[in-house]
Amino acid sequence: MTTPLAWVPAIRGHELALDGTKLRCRKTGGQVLKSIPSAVRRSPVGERFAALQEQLAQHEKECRATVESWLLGGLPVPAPLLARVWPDPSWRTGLQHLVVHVDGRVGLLAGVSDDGLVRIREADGALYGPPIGSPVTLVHPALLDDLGPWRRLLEEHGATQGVEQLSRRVRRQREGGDPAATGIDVDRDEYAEKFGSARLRAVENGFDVRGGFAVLRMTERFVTVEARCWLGSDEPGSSGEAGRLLWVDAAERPVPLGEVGPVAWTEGWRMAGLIYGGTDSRGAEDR
Amino acid sequence: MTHDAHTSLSAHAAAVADMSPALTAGLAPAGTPGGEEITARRYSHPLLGARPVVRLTGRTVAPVEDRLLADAGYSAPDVGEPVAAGHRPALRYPAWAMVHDLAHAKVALAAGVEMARAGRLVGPRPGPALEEFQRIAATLPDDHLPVFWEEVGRMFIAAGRDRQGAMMFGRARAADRHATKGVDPDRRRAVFLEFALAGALSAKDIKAYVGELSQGPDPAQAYSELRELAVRRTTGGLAPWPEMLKQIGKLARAAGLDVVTEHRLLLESLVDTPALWRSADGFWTDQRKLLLPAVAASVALKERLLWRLTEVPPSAMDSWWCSLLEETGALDELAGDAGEWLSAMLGRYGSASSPTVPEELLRLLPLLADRVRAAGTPVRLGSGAPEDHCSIDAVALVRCLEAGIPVADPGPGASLRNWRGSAHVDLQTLIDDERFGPALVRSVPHGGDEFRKLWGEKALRPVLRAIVDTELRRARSGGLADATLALRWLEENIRADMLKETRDLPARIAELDLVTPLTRTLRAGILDELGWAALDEAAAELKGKNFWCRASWPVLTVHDREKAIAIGPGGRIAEHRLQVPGEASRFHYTPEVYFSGGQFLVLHYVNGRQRHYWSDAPHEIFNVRPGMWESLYYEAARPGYTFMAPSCRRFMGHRVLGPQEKRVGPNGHMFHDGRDFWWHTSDGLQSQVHLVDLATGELDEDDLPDFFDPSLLGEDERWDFESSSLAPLPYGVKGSPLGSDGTLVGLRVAKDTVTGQVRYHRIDGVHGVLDGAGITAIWGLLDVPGAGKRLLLSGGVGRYRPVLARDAETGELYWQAELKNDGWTDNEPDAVAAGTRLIPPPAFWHFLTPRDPAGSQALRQITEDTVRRLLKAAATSEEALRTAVGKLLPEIGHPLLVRGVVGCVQAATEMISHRGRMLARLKRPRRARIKVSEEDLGGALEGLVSQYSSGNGGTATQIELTSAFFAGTIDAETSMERWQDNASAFDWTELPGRIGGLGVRAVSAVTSAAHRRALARLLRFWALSPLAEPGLQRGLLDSEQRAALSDDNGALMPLDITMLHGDWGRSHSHVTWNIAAFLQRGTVPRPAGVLDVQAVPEGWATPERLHRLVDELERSGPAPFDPAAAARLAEATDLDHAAAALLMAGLPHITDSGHNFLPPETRKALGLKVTDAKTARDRLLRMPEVARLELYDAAMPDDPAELWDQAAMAERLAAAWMVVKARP
Repeated sequence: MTTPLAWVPAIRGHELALDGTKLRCRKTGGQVLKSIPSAVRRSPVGERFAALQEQLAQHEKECRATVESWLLGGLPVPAPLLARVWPDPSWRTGLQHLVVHVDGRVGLLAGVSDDGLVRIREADGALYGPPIGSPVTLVHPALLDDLGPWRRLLEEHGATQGVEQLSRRVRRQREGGDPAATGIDVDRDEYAEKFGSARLRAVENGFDVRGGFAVLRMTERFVTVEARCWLGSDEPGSSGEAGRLLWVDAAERPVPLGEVGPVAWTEGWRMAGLIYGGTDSRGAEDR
Repeated sequence: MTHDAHTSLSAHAAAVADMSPALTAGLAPAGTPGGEEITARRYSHPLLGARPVVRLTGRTVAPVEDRLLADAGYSAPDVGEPVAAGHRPALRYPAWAMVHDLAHAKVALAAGVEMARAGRLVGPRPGPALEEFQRIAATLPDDHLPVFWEEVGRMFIAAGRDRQGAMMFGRARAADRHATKGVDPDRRRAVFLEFALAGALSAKDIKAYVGELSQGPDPAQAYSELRELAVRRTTGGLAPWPEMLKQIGKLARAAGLDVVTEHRLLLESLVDTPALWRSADGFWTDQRKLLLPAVAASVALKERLLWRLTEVPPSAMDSWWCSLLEETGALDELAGDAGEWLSAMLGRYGSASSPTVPEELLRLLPLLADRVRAAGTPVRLGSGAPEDHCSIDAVALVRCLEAGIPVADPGPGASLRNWRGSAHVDLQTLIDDERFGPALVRSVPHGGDEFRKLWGEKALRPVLRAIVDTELRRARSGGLADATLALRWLEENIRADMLKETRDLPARIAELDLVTPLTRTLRAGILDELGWAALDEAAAELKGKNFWCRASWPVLTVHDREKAIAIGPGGRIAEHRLQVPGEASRFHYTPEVYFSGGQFLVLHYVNGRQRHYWSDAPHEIFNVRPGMWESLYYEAARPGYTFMAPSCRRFMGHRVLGPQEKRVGPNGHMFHDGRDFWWHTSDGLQSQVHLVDLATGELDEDDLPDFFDPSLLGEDERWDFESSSLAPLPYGVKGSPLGSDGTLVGLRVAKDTVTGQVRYHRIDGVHGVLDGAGITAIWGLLDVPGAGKRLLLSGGVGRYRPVLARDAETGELYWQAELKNDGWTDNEPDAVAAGTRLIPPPAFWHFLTPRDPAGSQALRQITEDTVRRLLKAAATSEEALRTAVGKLLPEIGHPLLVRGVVGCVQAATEMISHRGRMLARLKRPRRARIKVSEEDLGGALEGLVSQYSSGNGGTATQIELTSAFFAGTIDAETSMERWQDNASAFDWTELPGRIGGLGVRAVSAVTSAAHRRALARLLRFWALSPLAEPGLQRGLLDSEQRAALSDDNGALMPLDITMLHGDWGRSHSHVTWNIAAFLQRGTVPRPAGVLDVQAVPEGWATPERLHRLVDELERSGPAPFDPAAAARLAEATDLDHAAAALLMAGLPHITDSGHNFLPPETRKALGLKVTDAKTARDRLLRMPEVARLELYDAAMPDDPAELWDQAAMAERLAAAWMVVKARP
């Protein structure tokens, strides 16, 4: 389902439209221009478009963040909600082609109709339509045994995901740690340390910063866990133990590493990787 | 009240845990109880056509959302049915107004729109953003302002502007005071926590909050609020603020709660949070009084503290914690695990750099001894594993043993530390301990200051003596190089005071005649028995100061900065006179010349410019990419296996150079089996060998010559390719002193990665093993003409690395010689290889041939008797030695071998003279000492004697040595023995004739006790020394030509003082930069190198006066500062009061820079203001040091006792000042 672009005349002979969050310009009824002439951009309509574009970008960012939180929460999304947001391209690009679990089956979310009919594409490529009103759960990649078939399926259909799911860095490896310990020293990129940019990177990557930690909250098996990555503190007298990664429960008690679930585990490491760098957070999967 | 506060808190926590995550996430089905309905509101926009924008919005916030989007031009929404349910989020502005002040909803919504606009400026332009917020605030009712400013604060924090965020928080709190509705405590608690966790709440904010809370109507509520903040903030990851416990106690008391209980409960709930342990030390130490009862009352707390302490690194806090544990009775919580606990605590002190175990911890040992014994788990001071090289605190060990605590056996690698100078450690007992004695022996340093200081420890003397015995044995019967090293060690480490305990030592040193070491070395074989005639000839022909060898194996290019000669095993091949860039002579540079295809590639990099050319196109100057040049320039030194391809063109990198090809590259380490070439690369630990594809110039996959067949390796062995080699014998060469099988030369070296053992195998089958303890980077096994045994060769790769020749079986070192083939600054051959002006790189040793087989044969048979006679002749003159060699070893005919033998004998003779000097030093009466530390003496002289930035630590020694040399107690050689070590930063040659001036500072009340003592001792020493005599002269000399001289009429003593830094020295800088000072007594024939001489003035000091001054000082103590006297001095001169005061006080701290340069007590004693003192200092500093001292010297009273009459002193100083002033 695609919404046709709504072309609006800006100045004589030129029309503007928003394509997603991108602004496009065309000669009236003619071909789309590669760039927007400044006269068009400076016109009153152009300026209104610019303001709208900014507002929509913010909206889309919020949509993605919400979808990502659903991915980390592992909670079923009510079907009416999904049906209602789907027509908005900002929501749709975030949700489309995510691996979901619905009605006991797993597949790529292919579409949702206005009346709440969900369609998923299963691993064999076939479409399946669960009963109307079945809630849909976004599946965290750490819970999928093998990401390969899903990636291939995406590729076959030339589809991309708007929220990092199948390309998300997954860490399953647990060897060598003490399961009773409540924290890990993360290898740090010298660059991050040298320029004290940990906090900056945390914010850039959308993590909350609280009490000297970058924090990320997720729900796994209905239990809320917060991963925390120490960013360092400029409090006088405090020791520098940057790079420490730990998990706490809802009452902020440290969780022993052995009890950290696979999603929290992988997300904690992903956060540390993004903040302390050195490793690419996308793509490769450590096993 | 009971503990409602805590139970409510834990209930809250439980509720949080149980709260439906679906509601929290806003994903609960619509209509879920306890949730607010969420609608998916669909908006449309005229510019977007049919495209909808859908917002998920809770009911409360919906009007705000609608309004914000309406402002952006959206239509009113299609709301639809609720699609989900969720918790209502905390209300922020303007949504807050929709719930709390509907009457002003319109104003709030309008403000919301404007806030959103201003919010976009916060990141890029915070100033205008803030102005905008202020404008909006003016439109709002007072009650809205706290929530409004909090929201603004959040915007700043989100933009990373925490400080402004904190300021906005402060505005919100200020607005609280004007709000009519009163503060909603829940909201206040929540925002305090929120801002605290965001790091936007200062201790000051918290203090204000506590003040506010304490004035509230409900003390119990106030307490519980603060407590929640304390707990949540700490569990949230922020270390407690310094006053936390105190403030908690205050509010608890107000709430009628038991303070100790509350502290206990709070600490119990925080003890597992990591943030608690990040708190500053002061958090604990300042609140000891509060902590003590709280900890004492809690078993849980005591247990956690005990074990938590074992996890933090040892610090100064350990002693504080241990005494707290003791005082609170925490140790009672240890039972069967007492041993474990002690092991963990003491284990933290197990590295060589650890601090010593604090007494407070050691004091716990007897208290725990019974429990450790009963449990039967010994205390472990280190893991005991073979690879554990822990360093055990000896005091802790001894205290454990004394307390009867069983201690586990140390590992074989364990050593002890902190055993020196401790009253607790009886070294005799420790060394007799069969388990820890060996660890102590391992800890004894083998030489250096530490070793020398240990001589006073009776218990260690057998260990020290064993070390000395080992060196004596080496000096007596090792190879020549071994004996040289041992003699140097003895010279460095044996001190006269050691003789008291080892009376036979001088006799044993005197026995060291080097006859055995020299005999053994000559028998084993010396370098000069082999030679490469073409190389000797080329080296003799090059006249430059430096020369270099460059490999194009089997051709070697030898060059200096003017000429290059290519030689092969058969003789000279080609030569070339370098075309040197014009300005080159003005710079230091390293030319490189490579031979390839019959031509020379000449590389010049002078003054940052590359100018390269081929000898067959000398006018075609080219340069290469900087990266290409660096690959050559920064390459590690190589042994010389860079080959010529069959085309006779040389490899440059792994590709063969084409004719006139403009390329440079690394030389690399290669292997060649006569057919194929291999290129070795090593990248840190990774070592790889690739086959070179000559056709394409590319490197193939990993591949090895057959010689390095991996099946020859043991399980843990790896080839050491850097040490290994493989090359074909060039046409016409029949063999190699490094071994050959008739067609190839080569050596393969395998290293065992586990044991470190090294196996080597020469291509002709000769092989051997090294245990890995000594040098393992060997590159050859040398056949010595006529010898049964071979010499193992290592070193010699890289600029200052001598080649080492050792006994293949015993490892003893026969000789070491510097190759001088890589731009050495001197090109005098090493004495032990005196016949070889230039030693080729290792790869070219294959082309060395015996120079004189008969001579070699004679050396194999040489007797100790012959060597003794040679040494005797050498003691006479070189000529006598040459004659003796000719007579005693007539078989030696080759002049270069004669030179080599002479050199070896001279090297031994040189060491014998060292031995003689050492003996003389040991027997010499001890010279008088000033007995001051350099630091104190320096501090005492600062500002009165010129001080330079280089030189350090030698002032007292120079004064002592000069005095002894002038007195004739030591000879010239001894006085100059440690020239390098005794550089002085102070030009103390200013002291003779002016030293009396130091008296002013010596008696000044503001001079520190240490400096006063140093001055007293210096003056006393001076009085007894020839330095106090009249008629001295001081001068400058060229340090390169320094020599101490003395005869019946006088003496001259050079002194390592960097005179170039002073005006006098600088005036001679056109002659040389190496300007040292000297002092002269009487007359001596003017030696070479003297630059200038000045007579020393006739000063106040005489021995009698100096003695009397110090006597008086000892009797009366310092003279109190008299402000009236300073005033008089100021009056009589043009000095202001501050300058006069500083002058009267001996110019204290005059060289310290900074605004407030005087320590507060000194400034107080002198009654000066900071700025006045500074101005005065700046004025006085304009006077040169020597003039200051001279001024003081001139003001000294005839009777030193009058120094204590400050008024009279002021008069004299005034008079002297006027004299100085009157000078031009």
